[in-house]
Amino acid sequence: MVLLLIAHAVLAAEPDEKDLRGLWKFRIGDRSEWASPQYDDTDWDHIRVPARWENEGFRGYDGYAWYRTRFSLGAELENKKLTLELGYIDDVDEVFINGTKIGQTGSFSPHYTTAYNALRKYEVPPSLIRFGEENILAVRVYDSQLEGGIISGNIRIFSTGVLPPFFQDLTGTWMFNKGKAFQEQDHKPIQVPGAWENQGYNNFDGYAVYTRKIRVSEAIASQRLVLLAGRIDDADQLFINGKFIGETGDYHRRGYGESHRQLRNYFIPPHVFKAGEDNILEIRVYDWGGFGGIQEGPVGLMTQDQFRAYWKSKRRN
Amino acid sequence: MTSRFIIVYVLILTAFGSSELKAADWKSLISLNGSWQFTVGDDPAWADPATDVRDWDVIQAPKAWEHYYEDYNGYGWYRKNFSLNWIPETGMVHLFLGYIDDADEVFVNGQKVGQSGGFFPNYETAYNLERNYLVPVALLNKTKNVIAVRVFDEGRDGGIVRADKFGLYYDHDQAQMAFDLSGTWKFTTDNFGNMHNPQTSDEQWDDIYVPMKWESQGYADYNGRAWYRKRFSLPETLKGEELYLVLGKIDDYDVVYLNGYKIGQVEDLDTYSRFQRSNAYSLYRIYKIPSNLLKSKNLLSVEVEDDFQDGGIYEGPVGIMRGDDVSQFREKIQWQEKNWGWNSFFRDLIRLLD
Repeated sequence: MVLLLIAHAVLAAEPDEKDLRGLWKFRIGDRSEWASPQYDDTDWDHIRVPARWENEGFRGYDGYAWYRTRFSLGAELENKKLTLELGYIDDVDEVFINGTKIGQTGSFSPHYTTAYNALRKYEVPPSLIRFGEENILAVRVYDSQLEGGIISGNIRIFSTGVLPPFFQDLTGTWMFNKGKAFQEQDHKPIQVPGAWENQGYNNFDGYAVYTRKIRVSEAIASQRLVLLAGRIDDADQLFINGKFIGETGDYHRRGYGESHRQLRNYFIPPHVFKAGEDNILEIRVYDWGGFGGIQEGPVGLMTQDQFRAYWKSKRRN
Repeated sequence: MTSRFIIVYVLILTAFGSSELKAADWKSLISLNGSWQFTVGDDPAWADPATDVRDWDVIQAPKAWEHYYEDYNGYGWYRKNFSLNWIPETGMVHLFLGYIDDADEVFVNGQKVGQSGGFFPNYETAYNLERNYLVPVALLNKTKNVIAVRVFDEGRDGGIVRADKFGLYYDHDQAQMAFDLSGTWKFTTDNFGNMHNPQTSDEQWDDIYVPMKWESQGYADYNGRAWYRKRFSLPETLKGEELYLVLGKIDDYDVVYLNGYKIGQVEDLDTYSRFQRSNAYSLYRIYKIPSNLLKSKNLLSVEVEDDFQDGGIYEGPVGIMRGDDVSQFREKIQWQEKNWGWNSFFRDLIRLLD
C-alpha cells in the first residue's frame, strides 16, 4: 500500500514538470533582438545544456553569449505556479520568455558581479506562457573568465503549487534603492523575487526600499485587498501611498529572528488605493546579514475574497 | 540539566496532588472544543451573528492553524454557534480561550467582550497570555449564541493554538455571594494621595474588570501600587445581617476601605526566609464589615500593591456574604488548604529553580 502511494506520488509529480535539458541554440556575441520570439535563430550553433561551453567547441571563450530554446507546456501546468530552474550559470545571466525579461542573477558591466555559485530559480509569470503552443526561452550570459555558460544542475520548468489568483501579479521589475527612504534619483530596476546580492548588491546588508507604481479600477480600490509579498529577508514594512499597512519581523533592528522564513500577507482596507491614478507600493526592508530582499514569491495583489478561496484550496488536512 | 529533571518531576507531582488547589471553583457551562467555522482574512462584518458563514472552512480548535494552512500568517476569524442549558441569573461568566497567537478580539452575539495584544498599526503579540474574558450573562441566551474570534498572527504558529480550559465557565463560589461585586470597577495606577477618601474623584479613572489580573486588561508588565473602587447599595433583605466582604485573591497586598474607613488589610510578612516569597497572593480575603459603616450608598476602595508578575484582584469570588455562609466557605477553603503545605513547598522549589 505504501509502495502504491509512493508510485502514485511519483506518477502524479511527473506531469508537473517539463525537463528542458538537451540541445539548445547558441551564439556568442550580444544583441538585444536575440531575446525576441520573432528572431530567426536557424543558423545558430547547437549546444548541450547543461555543459560548460569550453567543452562544447568554445574553448577559451570569455564574454557574452546567448542561449535559445523552444518549449511547450501542456494544459496540466495551466493555473499552476511555475518556476524555471536553470541550475548554475557562470557568471551572470538575464532570462527572457517570449521576449519578456523574467529575471537576472549577477550584474553585467559596468558594475559586473559574478553569481557563479547561485542556483538559478525564476518564477514564470503564467501570463507570458502560451499553453499548448511553442514558447521561446532566451538566456543572455556573460562569462568573465575560466569556464562559462549554463554549466550544471536541473534545467526545467516545474509546478510549485496552486497559482495564486492575482488580479495584479507583482513579480518582475520593481525600483530599488539603498537606505531607509525612497530616493527617486538613486533608484534602479531590480527583479522581484530574487536576492539583491545576485543583482548587483553583493555583500550588502542593511536598509533598502522597493517601490512599484500600480493603477487599479474603482471596483478594486473599493474592496478589501491582500498584498502577498512572499518571503523577505529579514524584516520589512509595507507602505501604500505613504500609509503604513503592516510589518513583519523587527524592522527596527532589535535582533535576529526567524522572520525571513515567514510568508507575508498584508491586508489592505478599502480605498487605500486610489482608482485611476498611480499608487505607490513601498516595501522597506532591513536585512540583518546573508542574502537580502524579497527573496521568494508569491508576490502580487488579490481581493480578499480571492485570497480566502486561495487558502481554502491550499488546505492540507 | 539536573534542575530540569527536578522541575518536570515536581510538575507531575503537583499536577496529581493539586486538583483541589485550583484557584476558583470553576464549573463548565459549555465546552467550545472541536469544530469551528474558519476563514483567513479580516472583515468587521464577521463579528455580526447575522453574517452568513456557510462558505467558511471547518477546522478544529484549539490547534495551530498551520496544521491546516501551511505557513499561513495574517488574519483569521473563528466562528461557532452554541446553546446553553443553564445561565447564572446575574453577573459575569468567564470565557476561557487558552493561548492565541498573536493577538485577538472576541465577540459574543455581536458584542465585543475583550481583546489581547494589538492589531496594526499598533501590533503587539500576546501569545503567552491565557485568554480569560468576562461575558455579562445578560448577553447570553439559551437557544442560540454566536462567538466570533478575530485573530492576527505575525509569524510561526498562529490561531487558537492550545488551551487547558476552553469554553464558558462560572465560578461556583461566586454564585454563593449574597451580593455580587464582580464586574466593572474603577481603577488607577496614579497615587496622588488621599486616595481612600470618598471625596477624591475617580471620574478620570479607567474601568477594569474584577476579578481578573490587570496584566490582561491593558496593564501588561505593571508592578507597583494601584487603586480599585466600587460603588454599591445593598438590598433591604441584607440590612441588619452580619456581613463579610470577600475579595477573592489579590496579588500581592491590599488595604481595604469602606466609605473612607479602613476595614482590613493583608501585608507583606517578614516571617519568610530570603529564599521564599510571600504567599500573600494565595490567601483568600475575607473581611468583616462593621455594620455601622454601611450607608444607603457605599464606596469600597482597595489599595493593591504588586511586587512582580501578575497583579491585582485576580481571582474570585468577589462579593458580600452572610455570616453563616462565610463559615461554610471557610471550611471549604481550609479543606483545600490541607493540601497546601506540600504544594506550596513544591511551588517554592519551582520558583527557586526558575
